Amino acid sequence: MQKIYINSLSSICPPKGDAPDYKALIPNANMRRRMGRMLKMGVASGLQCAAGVEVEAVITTTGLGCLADTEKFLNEMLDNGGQMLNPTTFIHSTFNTLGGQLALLLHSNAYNMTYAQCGHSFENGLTDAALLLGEGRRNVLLGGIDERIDSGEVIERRLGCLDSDAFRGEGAQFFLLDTAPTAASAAAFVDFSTFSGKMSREEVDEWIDRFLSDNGVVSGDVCLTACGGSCKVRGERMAFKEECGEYPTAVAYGLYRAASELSEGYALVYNCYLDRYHSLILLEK
Amino acid sequence: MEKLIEELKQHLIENLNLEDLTPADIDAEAPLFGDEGLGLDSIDALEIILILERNYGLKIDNPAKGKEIFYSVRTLADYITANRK
Repeated sequence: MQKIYINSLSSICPPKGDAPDYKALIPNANMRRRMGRMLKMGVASGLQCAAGVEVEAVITTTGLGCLADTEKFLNEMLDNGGQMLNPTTFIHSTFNTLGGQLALLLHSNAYNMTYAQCGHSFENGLTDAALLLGEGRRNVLLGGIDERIDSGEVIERRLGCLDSDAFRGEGAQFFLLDTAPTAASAAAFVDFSTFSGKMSREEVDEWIDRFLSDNGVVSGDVCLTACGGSCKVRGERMAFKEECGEYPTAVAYGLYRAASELSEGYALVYNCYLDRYHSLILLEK
Repeated sequence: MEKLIEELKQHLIENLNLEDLTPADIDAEAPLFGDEGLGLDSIDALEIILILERNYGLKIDNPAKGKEIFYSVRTLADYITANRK
């Protein structure tokens, strides 16, 4: 694949205590007052990442969308017998609402796409970004966003979607991707890959070895492994889900941390969600 | 009438998420829409229709009169007073 550079990146990770000044980041009070937590996180993170750049595509990715607004909308539907429903919570219950808000605030009528595909939402958005950049587009804004709500966590635990020792996290990470580097480039993608299905620990390690070998990289070249699942560590280990928690687009936080920390050589991001959504991202400085 | 106006202001703050405002900040005579008053927009108009339906059992039968009824908190209160059963 052609070189794709991360020229800007931003993160809001509430489990780490991130509490931005949303009034300063989203000065339009009429827009801000309607936004739930997830929208505020996503818009603030996206605007920070794209500051000063004319983006040619906005790609947002989320596993479950604006859960708080969706819950409110569904409760109102029950309370009011399906009648007299609030337009705002309905609008925000749709998954592409963040992409729309970003387009409005960035004054961008360019390509705008949302991926909501469970544990591979972010990876599929990344694939789309790579294809767009391959077609010659510049400055693609890609983000991974999910939020946690109390009732959602109860349901996820009941359905076995969260390990007993995992904490349910949330966050909003954005990346400005381009085929040309800048002085501020954090890292470049070498390759990425996904696998859907169950894999044993041994199979994961074999898959990673094959992935590295296909890219002409040996284990010793990898300075940092951002682990969002169980795998053999190459270089320094960063268990990123201990910081951001478990959620469908947590891999975006892993990518953010790996790209931020990488000072030389290669960084590998391995993520596993629900035991069956595996992904690998290889970065180089 | 003044009690109804205070009640309406509270409904507006809660339903439109006017997070920085208190009832005292809302001028009952000022326009609700446009740049001069609260600066509400068309989505807020839908929310106000819901406030009237849910809390006062009122529907706007004649949409042409909407602009007049929704002009300010006071005109809303006038409409409720005149039409509430």
